[in-house]
Amino acid sequence: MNIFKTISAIFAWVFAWVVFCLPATVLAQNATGQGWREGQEQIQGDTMVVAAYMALWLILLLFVLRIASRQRTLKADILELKKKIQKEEQ
Amino acid sequence: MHELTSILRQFAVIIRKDLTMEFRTRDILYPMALFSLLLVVVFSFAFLSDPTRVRDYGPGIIWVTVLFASTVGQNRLFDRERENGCLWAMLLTPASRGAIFAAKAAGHFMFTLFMEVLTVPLIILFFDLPVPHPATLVASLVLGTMGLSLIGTLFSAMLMNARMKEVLLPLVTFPILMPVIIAGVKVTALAVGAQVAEDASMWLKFLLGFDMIFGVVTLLLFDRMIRS
Amino acid sequence: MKSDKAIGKFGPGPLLAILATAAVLIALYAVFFIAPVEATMGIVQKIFYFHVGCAINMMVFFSLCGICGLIYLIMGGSRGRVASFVDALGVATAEVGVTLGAVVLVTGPIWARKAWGTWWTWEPRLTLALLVFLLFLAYLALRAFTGSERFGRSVAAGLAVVGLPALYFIHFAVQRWGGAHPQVVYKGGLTVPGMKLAFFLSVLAVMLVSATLALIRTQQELQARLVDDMFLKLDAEEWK
Repeated sequence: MNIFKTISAIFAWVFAWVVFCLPATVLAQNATGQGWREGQEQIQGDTMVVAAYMALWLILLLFVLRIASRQRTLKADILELKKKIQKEEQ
Repeated sequence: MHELTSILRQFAVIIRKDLTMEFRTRDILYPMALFSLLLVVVFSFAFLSDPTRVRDYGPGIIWVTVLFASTVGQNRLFDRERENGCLWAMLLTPASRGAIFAAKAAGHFMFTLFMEVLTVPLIILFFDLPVPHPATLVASLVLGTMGLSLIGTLFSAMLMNARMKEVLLPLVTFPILMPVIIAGVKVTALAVGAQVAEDASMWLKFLLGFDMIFGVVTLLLFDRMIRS
Repeated sequence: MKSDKAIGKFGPGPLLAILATAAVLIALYAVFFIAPVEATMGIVQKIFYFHVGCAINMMVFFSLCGICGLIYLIMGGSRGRVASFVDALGVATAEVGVTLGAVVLVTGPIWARKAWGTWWTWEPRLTLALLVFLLFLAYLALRAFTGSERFGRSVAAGLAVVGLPALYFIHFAVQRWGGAHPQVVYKGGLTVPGMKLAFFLSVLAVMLVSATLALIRTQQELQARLVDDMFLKLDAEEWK
């Protein structure tokens, strides 16, 4: 009964996906448009490239720093745990 | 066959229980209706009343009201169950979890629809919104509300005991509900006769697809998630 | 003690990190020195390599997160090893995905300002990226606020699973929402071999970097849980 339910659910899902959502994929392929349009932006392209890549590495750096701070907390916790275990053994 | 009738009976029993309690206490309907009423008043002051552009922002007002009011309903939906541990009692009975979930979602659906019956005519009245295709408007509200109820009920059941539930619930459900809002606003815009490039049937089918898929997904997930 | 070893375990992280660094350096070299400057867009087009690389990887990691949630729920929230690994991987992939999403949402407007003359436009791909980013931000908020009990984990897993079909709907809706004005296409595409090389290298580099970060986060999460469990056990023994 359970298998039957699961299979029918998957079937319904796939069916509904094909009927209602597949057109989106086709649509995406047809979506051709104006593409490039010269903006009024006066800032140099080089500056923007540099800014974009700086932002990229900055965000990644923040993530790494967060990992590092978590690691520090973890290490402190492990130390505390070891002390506690030693106390327990004594 | 017997199984199906018993599930339907369980569904009916839970719904009847919810409706009776709601009829006696009006715990959910009053806050929802009052809140949406206030929202409508706020909206009428928040937008410059330009009668020529009412078709552009009318659908948005309707759907924001529906979305916010349904969130208020979701927050209250399981409060009664939480207060006296009733949901766990319900889960302990031999009733199928699917029936419990479906009944809860149907209850929320009915309350939200009731709220819409009060508010949407009021919006149409206050903003002097012309509605050339009332059937389309009703269809979009019914299908869209079904989507809101399915997702909302699933997460309000899951977050029943969570800290900061009132904040978390919209945080979690709004991104998932965005397609419903997009489709609902589009269909409603067509119903009030705004200039939109597409036809209504595509967006109504889209809403139907959303309800179908999430009906299956939420039913299966409720069973899985409630286990832990 | 057995668990002491598990805590100090040295995974494939360092190797992957070295690989990722090398890939990033090679990709950057390819982007700035091998790939020619695009004729119509000029130098700003160079943003596009890492931007799209991040966008593709964001989707990959969010899908991974959804699959992790699915596996976790199928296992019925058991306390086994696989369940906790899958759960930790889910957190890690969501965090990496959100980080990549932040990169996409910051570099995208910078490029769009030069390309389309506006910082932000409600164009399907941008809208999709924003909504998906918000969805997984909600996932992380859910994890932060519901704590690490089993209940919170399964709710978050459920959100990730609901997120998978929601992606299709959001995609479809935002495609049609813009109405009859689909705008984006990276005109011209990547016809020059140097550009293709730079593009694939940067996708690969971003993938390696994010895989490294996700791996480290997964290990960290598992270790943190192990430590928590041992604290609980110790406390329980003290009470006896």
